[in-house]
Amino acid sequence: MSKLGAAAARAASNAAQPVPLSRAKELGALAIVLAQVVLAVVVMGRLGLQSSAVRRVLLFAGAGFVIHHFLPPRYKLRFFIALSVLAMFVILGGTPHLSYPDPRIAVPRVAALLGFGCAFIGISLSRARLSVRIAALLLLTAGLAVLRSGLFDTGVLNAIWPLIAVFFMFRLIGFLYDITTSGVKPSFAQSAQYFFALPAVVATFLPVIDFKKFSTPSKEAPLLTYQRGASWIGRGALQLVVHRVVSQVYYLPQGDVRDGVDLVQFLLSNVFLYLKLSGVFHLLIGILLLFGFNLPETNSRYTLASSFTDYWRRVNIYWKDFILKVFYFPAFFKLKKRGQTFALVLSTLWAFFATWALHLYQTWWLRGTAHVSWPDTLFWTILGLLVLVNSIGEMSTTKRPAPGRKGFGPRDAFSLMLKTAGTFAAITTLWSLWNASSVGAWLALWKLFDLPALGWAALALALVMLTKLLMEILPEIRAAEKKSGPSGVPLASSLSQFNLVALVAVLLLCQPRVQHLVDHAALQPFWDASRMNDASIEGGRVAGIQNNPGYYESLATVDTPSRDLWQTFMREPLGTPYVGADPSRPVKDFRYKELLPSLKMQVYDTEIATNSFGMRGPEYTLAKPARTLRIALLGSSNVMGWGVPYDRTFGALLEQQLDAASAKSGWNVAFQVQNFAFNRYSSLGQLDVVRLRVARFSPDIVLFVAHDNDFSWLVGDIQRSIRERMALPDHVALDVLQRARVGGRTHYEFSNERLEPYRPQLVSWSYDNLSRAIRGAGALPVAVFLPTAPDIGKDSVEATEAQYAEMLSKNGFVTLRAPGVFAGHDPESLRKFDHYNPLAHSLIAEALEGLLVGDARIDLRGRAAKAGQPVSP
Amino acid sequence: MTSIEQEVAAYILQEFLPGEDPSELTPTTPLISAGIIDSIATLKLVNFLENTFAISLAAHETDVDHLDTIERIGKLVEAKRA
Repeated sequence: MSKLGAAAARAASNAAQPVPLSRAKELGALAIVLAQVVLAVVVMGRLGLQSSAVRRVLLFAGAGFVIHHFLPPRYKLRFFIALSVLAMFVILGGTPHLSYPDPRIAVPRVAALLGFGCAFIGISLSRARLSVRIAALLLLTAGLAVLRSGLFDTGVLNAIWPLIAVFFMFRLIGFLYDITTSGVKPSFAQSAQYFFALPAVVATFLPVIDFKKFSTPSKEAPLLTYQRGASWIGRGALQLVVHRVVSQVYYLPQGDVRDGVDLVQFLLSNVFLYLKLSGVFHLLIGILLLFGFNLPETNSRYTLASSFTDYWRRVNIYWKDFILKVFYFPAFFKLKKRGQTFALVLSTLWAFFATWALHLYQTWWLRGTAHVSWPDTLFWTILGLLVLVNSIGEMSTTKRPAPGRKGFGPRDAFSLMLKTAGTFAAITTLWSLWNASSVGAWLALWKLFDLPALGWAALALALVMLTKLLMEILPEIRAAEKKSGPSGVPLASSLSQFNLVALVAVLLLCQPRVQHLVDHAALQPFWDASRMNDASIEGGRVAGIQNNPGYYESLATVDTPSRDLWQTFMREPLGTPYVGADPSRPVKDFRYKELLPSLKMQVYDTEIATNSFGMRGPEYTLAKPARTLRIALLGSSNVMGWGVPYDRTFGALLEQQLDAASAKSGWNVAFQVQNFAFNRYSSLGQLDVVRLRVARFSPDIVLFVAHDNDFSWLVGDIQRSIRERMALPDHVALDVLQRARVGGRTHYEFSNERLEPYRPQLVSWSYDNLSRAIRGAGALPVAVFLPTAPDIGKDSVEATEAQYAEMLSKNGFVTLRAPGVFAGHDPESLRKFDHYNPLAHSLIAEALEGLLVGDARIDLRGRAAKAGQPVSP
Repeated sequence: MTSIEQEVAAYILQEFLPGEDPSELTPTTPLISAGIIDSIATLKLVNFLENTFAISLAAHETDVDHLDTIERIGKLVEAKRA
């Protein structure tokens, strides 16, 4: 149906008196709506989409809207506020350890939220002059910003400062504008209903709902509004399903782009990440529709926009309306005396500047930090300029006839399809710039664009054109031919039916039995995506394992300032991400990163200083000094000594103790224990440490410290080598991964799970390669298994130590055994930031010194005697 | 339709709804909320109203309360001229 046809239908529907339904039919209609909401919640629960808090609020809404429907009108407002406040208690009282809300947490949080909220509303509605009200609101916002900044630890309230910002940061601006320009002040209850509306409590992204539209009583029959709400909830759930598939199966991070085809995949997967925001908006607004708030769509087929102005009108519609109302129109009306075009140019640029600045403002409230970046600035500048060029064109021309109307021919249809493809290509390109790490990195990607990439891009654009034809142009032509009128009760609308069928299909496809029936390696990534949940994906991001793709994804990233809020929403512990200086740089080998050379900085509460070779420790010469025995130490962050001063690491202590033993025994040699360890080096990474660094120093012994992470890190590094197309030493590991259906982008939980039966084979493979590389460098491979700091004290440590010792021995290492190194100590007294503390380091040094000196296979005495002999001239 | 409404309807049909059946555009057809009038169309419509009826509109009058239907536009123009 054309826009005019649809508008006429809506006018007729609004004018018509709703046909009274029998109680049975009314209950039936409500049950159908409720069933759709429940179906969406079941699908979201099965796939772990969004936090459990979002799903709880959906169920709240499902139960609440039925009661709300039957209440007399005078009680509806009060009921909705009461339900919203009750939801706050349930959601904000959530902790990772309890399945029910904890009142000791819920009460102060809700009190603070309502307190700040009522203060914002009270000031806005007061009779004071506008300037006084604005000053008071700014003062209150500044106070809130201080609390949000993290300067003070506010305990259980830490979680809610970003949430208060979500409630008020944009809607308050629009609210103040509306009540000031209209001259009509709503009641406090009406305002509270707007600001505290049920879904807001779980929204980190809340559409900027217009107060006037929210408050205008609906003329539509309530059941139709409810049905549209249920339909949007279903559509939102489906969009989140598609987002899961895009982000977990097709998404390619910028760093993994290796050729032109990758580039096309990167561009397309990036632009469809927006489905997450669109899906959430559909859910949130759908909930409000269940309570009779007749609100418009939040997004409307934005990938089918045929111009930049059209795109701006279809994507995040509420934001566009907010910017138009508060920034664009006021600016245009002030400037129009100086000419329409002049006013148009400045007001458009002003609107996009406001959008850019307000996105930064939003980032700060949600993440606690915000930085101006070139990709972000360029994205909004270029989009603003493109919209401006389109706007000037539209201002000076008359609209072309719509499809199916007189004067619209095949050439117009083709032109519309071409414009749509062009707009899609430009927006996709711009979107990739927005999500790029830097402009330089983004420009470098385009050097990869080649003929195959052109072919895939052309195919993608052809699909966009076809979709435009099938979903918009042909339906409009058909509707115009039929002169179709109102479509009747939309309970039977094709869109709702599609949602229902699709949701049921998704639910079926998530069943292990169904997945087993259509078992195929090519489908494994989809089955894996169906077994994930958003909480574990966030957990992966905290651990630095999962990528952090688009702008909106990064806004929802769990970092220190927002961790409390996310734990509240997800009711799962999310760990503490390290935030601070990064002393490393990327390298293109299996180490993937290395410590910066000649460095001195504060990292992990400790000064990290490196020599010119990028090692913690003193300056060394490549040539081994006379009468010196060199031991190269390989390991990860525990061995490197995160959070511990260098002279208290076990490497440095071991050197002192070996020197003392040498002096005591009259060996007449000095020891150098060189620390080559770095954060998260796997046993595969150690291969390149030996080849590229250790070998140059001609060590006598290479001491490799193994631990239980070797397996998961090894798996992660092999997967990364597949993504980055790096050649592994042989085919063994790749064959194993193929058998286990693990690809380069298989989620770490599933890759570890499916490769667990192959653990001995994979770890042994890497140890064998490592010991041979060490021998190739002319050194003796020695290894010891030590539990990582979090593993100290676990019951399984002894068995694990024995298992690893066996694997190390079988694969060419002289294996030292120190299972009791931490015996008799409280595990907590040995840890700092999940790493060894100085006490743990001293215990390890002591144990290793004894093991090295006393082990005949190593024969330190013999080696010392050899090194201590005068060199023949 | 009043004469003001007729003039407005003719302008909207010519400018924003070429090829459409004029009978479908009624005084109560939603214009902004149905997407017939977008932001640029709003500015053009305001320009038309100000020039044709010698009135002056404010920025906040570009919303659905004032411009969503021909009926509301007619009332706005009449109120401004009164």
